[in-house]
Amino acid sequence: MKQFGFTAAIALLGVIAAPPALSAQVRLNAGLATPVLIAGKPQNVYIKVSVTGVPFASPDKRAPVNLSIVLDRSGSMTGEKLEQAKKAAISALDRLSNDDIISVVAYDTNVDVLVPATTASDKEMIRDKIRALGPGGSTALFAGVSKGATELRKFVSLERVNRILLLSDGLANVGPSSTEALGELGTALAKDGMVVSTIGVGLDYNEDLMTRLASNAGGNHYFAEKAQDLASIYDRELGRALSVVAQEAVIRIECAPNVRPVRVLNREAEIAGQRVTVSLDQVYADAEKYLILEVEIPESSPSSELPVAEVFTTYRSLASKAREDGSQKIAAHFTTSAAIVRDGTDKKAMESVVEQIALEKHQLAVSLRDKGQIEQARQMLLSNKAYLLENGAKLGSDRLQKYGGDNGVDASNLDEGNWKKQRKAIQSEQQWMMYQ
Amino acid sequence: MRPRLAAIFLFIVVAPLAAVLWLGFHLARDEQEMVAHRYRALVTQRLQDVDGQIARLLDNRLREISGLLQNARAPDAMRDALRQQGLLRSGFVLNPTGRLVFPDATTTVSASEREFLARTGSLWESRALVFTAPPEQAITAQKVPVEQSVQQVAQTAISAKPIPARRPAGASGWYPWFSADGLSLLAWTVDPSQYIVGAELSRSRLIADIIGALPSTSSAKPDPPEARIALRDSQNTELYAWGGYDPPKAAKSQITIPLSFPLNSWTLDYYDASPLARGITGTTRFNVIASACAFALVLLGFAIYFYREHLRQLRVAEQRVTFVNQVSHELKTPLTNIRMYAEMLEDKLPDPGERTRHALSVIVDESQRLSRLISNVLTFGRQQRKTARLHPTPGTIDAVVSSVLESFSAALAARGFEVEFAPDAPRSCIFDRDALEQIVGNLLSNVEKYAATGKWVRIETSLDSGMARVRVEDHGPGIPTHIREHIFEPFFRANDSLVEGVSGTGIGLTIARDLARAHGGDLVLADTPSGALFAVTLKVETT
Repeated sequence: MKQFGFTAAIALLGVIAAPPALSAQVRLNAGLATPVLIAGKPQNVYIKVSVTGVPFASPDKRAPVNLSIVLDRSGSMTGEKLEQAKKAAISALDRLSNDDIISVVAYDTNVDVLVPATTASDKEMIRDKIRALGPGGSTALFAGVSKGATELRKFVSLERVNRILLLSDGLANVGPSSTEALGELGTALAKDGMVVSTIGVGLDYNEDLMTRLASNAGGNHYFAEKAQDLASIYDRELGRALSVVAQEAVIRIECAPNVRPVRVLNREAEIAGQRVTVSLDQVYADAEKYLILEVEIPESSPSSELPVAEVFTTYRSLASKAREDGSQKIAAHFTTSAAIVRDGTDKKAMESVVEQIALEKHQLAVSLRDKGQIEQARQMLLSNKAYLLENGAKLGSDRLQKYGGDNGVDASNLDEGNWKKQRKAIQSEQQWMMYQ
Repeated sequence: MRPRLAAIFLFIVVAPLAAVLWLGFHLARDEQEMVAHRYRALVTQRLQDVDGQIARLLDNRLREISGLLQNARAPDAMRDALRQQGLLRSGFVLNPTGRLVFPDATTTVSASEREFLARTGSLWESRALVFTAPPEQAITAQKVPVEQSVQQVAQTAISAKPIPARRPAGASGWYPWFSADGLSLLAWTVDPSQYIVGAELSRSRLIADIIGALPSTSSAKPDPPEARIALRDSQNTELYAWGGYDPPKAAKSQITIPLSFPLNSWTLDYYDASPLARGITGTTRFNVIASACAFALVLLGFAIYFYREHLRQLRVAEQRVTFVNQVSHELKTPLTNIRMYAEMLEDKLPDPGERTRHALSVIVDESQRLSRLISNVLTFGRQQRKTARLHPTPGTIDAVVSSVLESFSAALAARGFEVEFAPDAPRSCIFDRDALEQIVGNLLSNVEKYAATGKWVRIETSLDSGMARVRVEDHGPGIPTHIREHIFEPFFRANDSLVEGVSGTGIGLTIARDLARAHGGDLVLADTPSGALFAVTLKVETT
């Protein structure tokens, strides 16, 4: 009886301690992966903070879009690749309405602003300009993004979804071309409310550069192995852009005085003292974006409640066109019973934690393989698979099981012939999984 | 064509041609230089316009940034500002004494702030921002000590001596700073309480903003169409370029200018697809040579024309001379007959009577005179055609001179001459009798014509060691100094008013001298105080 009551109380507290904060456009959900902890020793635990966009009231309503399509037309794009890219761009254009702003920038050795930022009303003119595009020389990727950002800036506003779609098939070789330079640019653009998504086509582009740019800039990276894949990718990305419900989303976690924030697993975070700040940029309807924060909890006595952190979110709603915010408090409870700890696990949150830990390991395996240490990489992937399968079983998560399987597949695909393609597939997959 | 004429010909054509060519090339080259200079000025102006554009962009950004930073002294405010402003990467705050107070390594710092401190440590230690001018002229990158510990920086910052820095509130500026990666721009502003609040710009974002402001390149109508303008950073890496021309990798820019402060370690380069050649282009060279050749052809035409004219005139003159010689030759034979028969009559007539004798002597004298004249003409013609030949025969000088004198005696007497004859060459020798006759005859003829006022003539002869001498002296008006050499020129007649109207061909002395010289001697006009003295020398063979 006492046992049952205690468990029930814990369960109830679990519910009370972590009520989802209902804001108009964005649903904030923050909580410990393991809300009940072992008493008597300090430990590192994980907090999952997620935001999920709430769709607009009326189904066909959506926020107007300010879109810049940046196309690579370097010499290597000649033929099928450029044709497919043009088709994909045109089909993206066709989904826009008269309220939307579109600009098209094409780059090779130079940058040509094909269509300066304009409303998407005269679609025929824009289609013609895109169709007339021909291949050229080198790859001034940085300049292409810069000009795209300039076009976007002409109509940038927090009442529009501001997004750049960058396409490239090769290595940037004109202007600043390092991953760091592009990453820095991505960070800067995101601060101004512009999100960059990147699309790599073929097997010759720099996936590190493209994923870093997309990740820093709040967007996603897509790998188009074949030119024919471009159409569906543009479609998917445009779908994402059209489903944005809030922009400039920021998570601020104020940790309790004796709780030490250690690190955020899957995103760039600013940790200053007790405050952790993470930008989540654009939030999509019915899609979750989250971060995992590792914190150090001090030794606590059983049956005590420890305030762990207070989570704040602020964002700009595209429906109300106003700034909104929400908050949620997180607390931990302590017990001496390992079983209670296990039963109290927030399965969904823990699933995300396991996934992110495995992703880190997976990244490590990739860098080992880059250094040529194939056997170590394989071992790491196999141990990762074991870890995922074990936890997948424990948490009853198909997702983790599947990811474990992927690790196994990757472990057997580390040979030279497959690696180029494999690496691109892995990096783009992981970019999604880390940043959502 | 004779060599001398050929030389003149060549000179007439070649000299002006050379002059025209030289002038032409010089002018063309000067013009080319001027065009090139103007072109360079135009291009430089264009590049400076671009620089101005970039400078204005930076000014605007500085205004925005300093406005934002004015309220960003507190750490939270600063972090918020950095989070919102894409152009800013990291921030810093200096207190009025120039000491770094944010990021503060002794309190809480985020990872990026820690990295910022490590990267910029030397700046805060040296307080370069506050006390030295930014490296306006610096082009070389400074080496920064890598991975300086954050605590180290904090310690030195605290222990530094406080030195006041006076700046008006609201002032702002740039501080370009060089790290291992190249140029890094710091923006600073002074807030109302004399704190210096600043930030490091995101290099990528700054470059992206500048690229945004610069022209793009339309495929249909690139501008500039046949050139390329490139923006390069302090390590000469191309940041961005536009224009219709894609130069090869190793190409050098035609014109380069540095940007204005604070980006004065960056440059704008201009590449031209078809740069203006310095000096003469092929077309200009062709033009100059072609016109010079045309000019030369014209000159050649003139030269040929004048040469043909010259030849024609020579031919005509020759015809005239030939005619005169022919005539004289025709006259010679009948005249010889007339003289012969006249002299025969003089001898053979029994007792002619005074009047008949006088008539005969007139006929004989005049015929002799005509003979002399014709001889002169024919000799002259022969001399001109260089067909004269001497025929030396034995004889006596005195006899020949005497006989010539004899033939002139009547005429001389008629003019009132006193004749002195001092022969001293009686011995026989070998000489051309006709030549001597002509020489002496011409000299006496001149005396008769021009020296009548002196009323005196003296003829001397002498002969020694192979040279025969004859001297003819008179007391006439003499020969003025300025024509002493001219008198020996053919056709030259001294125009003396006293003897105006006297006939003469002007070839007498010419012939006499030529004959004397042909004979191995000479005819000279000697210096005399008054009158004239002609001295003939002939080379003779004594028998």
